[in-house]
Amino acid sequence: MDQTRRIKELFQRACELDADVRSKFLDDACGADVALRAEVDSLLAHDDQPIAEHFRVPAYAPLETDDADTFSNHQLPTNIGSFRIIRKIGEGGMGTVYEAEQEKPRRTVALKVIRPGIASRDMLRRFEREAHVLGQLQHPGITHIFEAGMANTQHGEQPYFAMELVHGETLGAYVKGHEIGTRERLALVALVCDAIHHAHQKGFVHRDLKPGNLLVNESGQPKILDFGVARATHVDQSVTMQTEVGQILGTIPYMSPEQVTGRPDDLDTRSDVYAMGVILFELLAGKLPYNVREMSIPEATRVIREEDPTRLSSLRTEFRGDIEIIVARALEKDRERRYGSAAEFAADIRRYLSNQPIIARPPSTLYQLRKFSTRNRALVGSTLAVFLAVIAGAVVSVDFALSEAKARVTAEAQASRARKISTFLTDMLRQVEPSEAQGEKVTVREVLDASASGIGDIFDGESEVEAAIRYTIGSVYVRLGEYDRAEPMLLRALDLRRKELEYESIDTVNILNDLGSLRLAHGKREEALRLYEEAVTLSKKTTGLDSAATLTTLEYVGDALRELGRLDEARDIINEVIEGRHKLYGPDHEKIISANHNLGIILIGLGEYAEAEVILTDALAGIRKYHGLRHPKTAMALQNLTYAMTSNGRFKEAEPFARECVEVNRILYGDNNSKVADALGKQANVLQKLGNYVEAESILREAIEIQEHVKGADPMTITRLLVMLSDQLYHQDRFQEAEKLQRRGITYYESLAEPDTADHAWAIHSLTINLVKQKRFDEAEPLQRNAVRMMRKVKGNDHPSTTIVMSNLGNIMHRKGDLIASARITQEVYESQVRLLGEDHPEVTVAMMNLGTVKWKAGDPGSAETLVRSALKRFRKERGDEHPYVTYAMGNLAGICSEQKNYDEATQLRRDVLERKREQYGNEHQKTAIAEGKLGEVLRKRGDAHGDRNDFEEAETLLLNSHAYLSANLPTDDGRVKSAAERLANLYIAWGRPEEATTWQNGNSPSTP
Amino acid sequence: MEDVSQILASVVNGDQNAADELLPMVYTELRRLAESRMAKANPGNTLQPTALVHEAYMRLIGSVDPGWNGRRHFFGAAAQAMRDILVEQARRKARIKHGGDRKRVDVDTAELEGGPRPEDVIAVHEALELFEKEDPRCAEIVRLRYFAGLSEKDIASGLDLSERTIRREWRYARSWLQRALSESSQAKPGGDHSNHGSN
Repeated sequence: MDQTRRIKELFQRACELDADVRSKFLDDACGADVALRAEVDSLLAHDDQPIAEHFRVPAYAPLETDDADTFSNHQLPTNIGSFRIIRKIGEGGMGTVYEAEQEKPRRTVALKVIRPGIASRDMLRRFEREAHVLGQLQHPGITHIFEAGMANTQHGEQPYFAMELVHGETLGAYVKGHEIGTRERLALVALVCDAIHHAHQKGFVHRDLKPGNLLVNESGQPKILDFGVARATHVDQSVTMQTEVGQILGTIPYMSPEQVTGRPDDLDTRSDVYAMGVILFELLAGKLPYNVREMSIPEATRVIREEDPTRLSSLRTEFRGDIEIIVARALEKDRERRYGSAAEFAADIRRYLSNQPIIARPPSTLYQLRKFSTRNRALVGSTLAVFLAVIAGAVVSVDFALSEAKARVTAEAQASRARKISTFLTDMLRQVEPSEAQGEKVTVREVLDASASGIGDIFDGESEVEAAIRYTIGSVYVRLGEYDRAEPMLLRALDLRRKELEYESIDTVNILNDLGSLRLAHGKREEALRLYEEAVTLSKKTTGLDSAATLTTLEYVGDALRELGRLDEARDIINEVIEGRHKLYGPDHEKIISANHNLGIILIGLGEYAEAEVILTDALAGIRKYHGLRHPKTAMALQNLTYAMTSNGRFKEAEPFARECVEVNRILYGDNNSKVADALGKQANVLQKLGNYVEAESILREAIEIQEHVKGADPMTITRLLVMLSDQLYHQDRFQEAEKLQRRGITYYESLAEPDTADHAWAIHSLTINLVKQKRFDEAEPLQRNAVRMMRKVKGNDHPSTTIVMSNLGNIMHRKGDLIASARITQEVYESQVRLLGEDHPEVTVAMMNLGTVKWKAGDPGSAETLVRSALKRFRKERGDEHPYVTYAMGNLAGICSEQKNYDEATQLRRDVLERKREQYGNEHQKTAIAEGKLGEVLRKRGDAHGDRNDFEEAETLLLNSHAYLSANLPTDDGRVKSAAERLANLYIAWGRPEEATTWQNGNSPSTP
Repeated sequence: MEDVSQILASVVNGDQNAADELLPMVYTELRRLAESRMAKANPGNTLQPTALVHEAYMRLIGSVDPGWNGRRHFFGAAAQAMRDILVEQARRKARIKHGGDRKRVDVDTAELEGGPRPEDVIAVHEALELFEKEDPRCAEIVRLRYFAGLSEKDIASGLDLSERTIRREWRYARSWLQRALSESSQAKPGGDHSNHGSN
């Protein structure tokens, strides 16, 4: 074996040397090994031989139709059916065409006999059925099919068509040979279109229009050949698409984008319009709109599907304007944008010829811009799509104005007979309230607790006072998030009002409002809405339609509606409130600011993040002005602004607000309050976006810990945090841990009476990302489809959240290998996000990344490069250079560069990636080993391209390292180990060291390293 | 029915079952295409492996690039299938020629002017079997080039090597096979190819 390798190596080196140096080289290399020398010499002797016939490549000379004629003429049949054969005219994939004479009626016909090998039994049956229909196609522009049938020949039953025999030449030859000018060329094409339209109306699509199928007879009438043949024979698609053997290459330029996608069932009359567009272009310019003749088939189909055609005016300036527009319209990739029929196409040509305005319009600037951006931006790094997942999950909980209710209660209380006691109590309680305490005396809550339990029957007989005090204590508990303590207080107060006091009172309104808040906090939204609505009714009765109290209560209704996801109604109500307050207070009132704050939250829900950020920024400024820096409202405004900014993609800007929000909440409520937990959730959200998963994880763990110890905490809130936590875990490759949490979350959501919620969809979304990371694509797909359905149902189709779950579906399809579906989804996501979020949104960057990746895989590295390059730049700016997305984009860009043979840049990028992995994971880590392998590979390619030994040497070190690590830490049959070995084999082949190459062959690691 | 693209994707992801599924699909498709081209009615019609393989590629995969690894698997399967088809065809023709069907003799002789002699196809096939044992990687290039008719560029893109390397490997393979063929035609019985080196 060693010897064989040695021979190969010597041969390969020697054969590149000139004869004179060669023998010297071999003398040195072989020394005394005569056998070795003899072997190499004998190979070299055969190297110089002229290539024998059977090594001509391709192995078999293509069949020339004309040659075939010459040797098969002598076996011309005398008769086929009732036709007397005169001579053979041509031969193609489907069969042979003869000139023949028909007996009755007596005429000369073209007889096309379908080759029996092609005709399946099914096809023959279909053929008979269809035969009579063909006769319906009677148009001067279509070669008339006189008869179709089956004939008994020496080869058995053969289907045939007897057609009008056209004496003429092909359209191309006619135009050239007769010096036909532009206007006449246009007129000819219009004539052809008339004929096509006729056939279309009879239900025939040609499917294979090309210059070879268009003849012009002696009187200048164009004639289309083979109309209806495709359908009548309905030979299975391969033959339909390729009427002439081996001439598929000749047919491709005329195929429409929908045709080259290989879904022939999807063809309609507009595919013929497209083909005529190509033919017209070729007739006018002498060239094809896409230069696909030299390309490989996959490349050609890609070009037809994705690239813009050559502009007609760039070849011949005189066609600028209408003609160019007409041709471009026929060549539209999207058939919806083409002429709707061949008749429309013809009509527009004739309008031009008679100097009327044409109906085709050049694409609008807007359309072109959109196309440009579509081509140049893009896509979604699957794993990245996660990032908004959390946002929609974490629906904001808002704290509401304590102010008015409180003030009023105080006033009422003061007015009551138990004035002193009440005042005392209220004053005392106010010490406890964070708004007064400014964080200094939060522990005074002990005083509150004592007061609550001490009420007992002190107020026996003084129901008014008792109700007021119980309400006040309950109200403060609500604001402190102590719902379990608040509830009995408020219920007792309400009970008192109902049974012993006047029910229709502002006091009842206040109690109802606080009870509503409590229910809302417990997730009982419908109940909360009912309480608020009752409060509004009472308030309108007792205080008037536009009173301050009514507006406040209305604001609560808006709140409940928002929580119920009825966002449009909520927005209307809050706008009503803002308007009412403008009338009541004039501009800049604190209450208007607070309502605006509320509006901002609703806008977040509606996905209008940019507007939300603007409104909330103003609201925060106003609230700080009125309430100071450490007020519950300030904390709330900070939290909502953080959320809006995060959703709006301004992560770095959001981070300081997130931190301040947590601090303020800690100061106001102490470390173990659910408000602190909420704020921590928002902060984790920002950190996740910035790629700081480790810190996000610990923050979320703290938040969950807090929530689990808060009595009466909403299980929904905890579940939401758990799902968020899972996101941090899979980002750290802790897939199983993450999956456990995700499954737990999903089980919880499924158990709800209304299981279809955004949170539920996010939980599934989160799970599928995790599954994709584990390559469990088949499990992920149906789950994600369900998430998409759910999100659509809850948020509607035009919502950023829906695009994000869609984006993940696109990614799953990509990973499953369905690039067509993936490209479609990804493109759609990208376009929707640009529309919904604006061009500059970081989510759009993720979409760019994803789109670029799909385009790359779909064989369009050119567009992919543009997209990924700008995504990389934007990631750096939006998330900072350290962010994992940056590394991810660098890796993809390296792959794309390498594919484009831009090895220098690919090498640089791979080096950077390796450097970053080393920093992040250290030298001994799987990710580092894989990065080494990739750098080694690109170095090998560069070395191979330039014949550079240095690259090979560096590649060898890296690849050996990589393989050593991977094979020591993964099972032998793992794909990563195999491909590491494969890379080494490729290196040694390229390096001309076949002996080593063999040891690494087929992904096998050498048994004795 | 599952999509070939998806099967390819699974193959690339290391799914052995998918790899087992791929070959028969490609094989069936090529065989079907080949049969429709090899209709007896037209003995003058010879196969064009390049066109067949490209057509099968387009029909089964379309315009989506399955990546070099996917291409490699596809082309590998196609080359294998084409080889079977061509060898089988050559054997059949050789039988006819050696007296199977007399009235066709003329036709076959005429046909051979354009293509290789069936004996040659069979000889290359047999020589390649030996070569595969000796240098499987290089033999893969021969299969892709000779039997599937792929260009150097296509092969390079399928094997993820430069065209230069492909050319160098091909040159060696060609000499090796050329030599094997001339040895076997000189010394018909017992052409001994293993007389060099150790084993």
